[in-house]
Amino acid sequence: MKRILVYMMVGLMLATTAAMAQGKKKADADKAQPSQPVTHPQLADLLVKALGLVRFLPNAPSAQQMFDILMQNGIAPQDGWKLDAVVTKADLARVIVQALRAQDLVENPNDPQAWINVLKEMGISIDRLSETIQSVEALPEAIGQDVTMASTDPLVKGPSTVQYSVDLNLVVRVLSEMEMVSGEFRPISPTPH
Amino acid sequence: MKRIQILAAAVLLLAMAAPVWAASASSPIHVNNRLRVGWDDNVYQVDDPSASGLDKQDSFRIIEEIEALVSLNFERTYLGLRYRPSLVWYSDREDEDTDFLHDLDLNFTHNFSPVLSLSLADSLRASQLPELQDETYVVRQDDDNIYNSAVATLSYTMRPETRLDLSGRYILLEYTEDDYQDAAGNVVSHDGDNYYSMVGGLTLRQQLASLTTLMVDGRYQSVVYPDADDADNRDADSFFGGLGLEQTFSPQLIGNLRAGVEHRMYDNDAFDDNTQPYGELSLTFLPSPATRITGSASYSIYESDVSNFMSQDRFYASLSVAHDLTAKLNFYLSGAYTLNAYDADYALDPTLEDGDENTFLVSMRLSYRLNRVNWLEAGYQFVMLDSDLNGRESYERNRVDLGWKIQLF
Repeated sequence: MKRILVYMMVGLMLATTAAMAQGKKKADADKAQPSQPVTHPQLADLLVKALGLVRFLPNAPSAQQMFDILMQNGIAPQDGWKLDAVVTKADLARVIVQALRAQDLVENPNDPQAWINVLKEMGISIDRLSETIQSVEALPEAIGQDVTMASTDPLVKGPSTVQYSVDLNLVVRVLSEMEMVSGEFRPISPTPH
Repeated sequence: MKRIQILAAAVLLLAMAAPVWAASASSPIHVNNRLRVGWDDNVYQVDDPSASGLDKQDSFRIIEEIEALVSLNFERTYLGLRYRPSLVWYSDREDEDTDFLHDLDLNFTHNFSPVLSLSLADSLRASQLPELQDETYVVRQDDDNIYNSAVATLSYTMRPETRLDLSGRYILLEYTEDDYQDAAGNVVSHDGDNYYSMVGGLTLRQQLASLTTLMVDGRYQSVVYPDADDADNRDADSFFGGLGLEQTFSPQLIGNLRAGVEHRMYDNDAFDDNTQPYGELSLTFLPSPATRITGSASYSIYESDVSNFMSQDRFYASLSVAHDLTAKLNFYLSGAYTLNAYDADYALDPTLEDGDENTFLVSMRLSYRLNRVNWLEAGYQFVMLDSDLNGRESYERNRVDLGWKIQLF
């Protein structure tokens, strides 16, 4: 079995080398081209990092897993997140206002311009995404489903204890003399909380 | 009590300084403090010969948590760090009244190129859980332990719609206390419970349309208890193979499904290989802008919650709701049910029989935002364990607390 892991590590290194070379070529080519439109997955990636939501996600999350955690925190474009959609100004204004928890300032939520106006009043420009994204910071009351608790994936499952901001530890250790007499019943996974 | 007074004074000082720090809102570092006072109706329970059943020990408690969040976002690199030490003090838990816990989470991502990225995540849990005694009873052995999980994933985007993830994970659980004599004079050793696990995995994702992604995955896991006696050998190797689906059903509904088969081979020749299906389902639904609902369910072979079984078959289901009652008042509710099924064929002790354990948990929190940096909160948690395993005790536990959270900077 150790041999399998060694093969995987060698494979990882080879793949890294090959892809880095390919990526460098592509990056050089990209420099010569005008900037590309931003897609929903790219915006979601920027948002989960800026809002501190990465800790709720499995390692190397998929685009839809990022959409999911943003939706759980009430952040979504008017027509929802889509894998191949391009971000419009209306989309961007809406998700930034939601990320700033300022949606109660929007006078008419059905009017896309109303979301843009709120950002204008706050002095936030939506002309450049890299600048706009800097206006948001880690959500102090971020919530998320505990993916480690429901997961059957050995790459994901583990001992987390908080879901939707409430304590959620299933095997809370309340022991009694009977258990100590009957034998060792220590949980295999630690249950510290 | 003096320790609590010092802690409270420190928290108040920090609160006074908070507005100054909060002014620098663009800082990549944030620190939150959360202080909760509450009551727990079942800190532990012991047999009471004068009563029918078990005697619960209740206690007033104070929980102090400091949470430090670091988020560094560069053009190609992201580093996220979260450290949360917690001090839990019980008024009526003699003679050890304090537990001390550390949670550390690290996330690192680097994009080597538009098609290749490396993601690292590490979770460290360190728990100081001292031995508890009630007169002559040992209620809890010394349980100081360290748990660490490190996972690395290399993601290669072969085509815009196709991504290959190659992952490795290392998990370590170690009880840190040396062998010692308990109050009854018995030598207590935890070495046999220490374990490490290595996982290798490969996932191929194929985006089918703007709303659907299909996945194929394979995993290998090895679990080793390096210090266990031959009689308590629980070492195992497992292979997993399965398919997954991620689907956006509507702007308000998103879900994912994963299913496959696990084949587990035990190192101990006394046990047959165990082949079981696994599956998990998760749905997130936004019925209104103010309400978020997430449900999940899963079934699989799982690490045993009790040491004298090789493994368990676990069914898990949970439902969580977040609702913004007003812009400042938020309500969170989460409930979970677990059915752990233990098969006598996989018991280390041949006298043990088949058994089930049912766990119910409901947890809720009401949070009120006083201003930009202060929150008041109230919480309630109910836990019930219903066990028919021989020698394992069922219990119910209620906990309530009131808290104050402040974003220091």
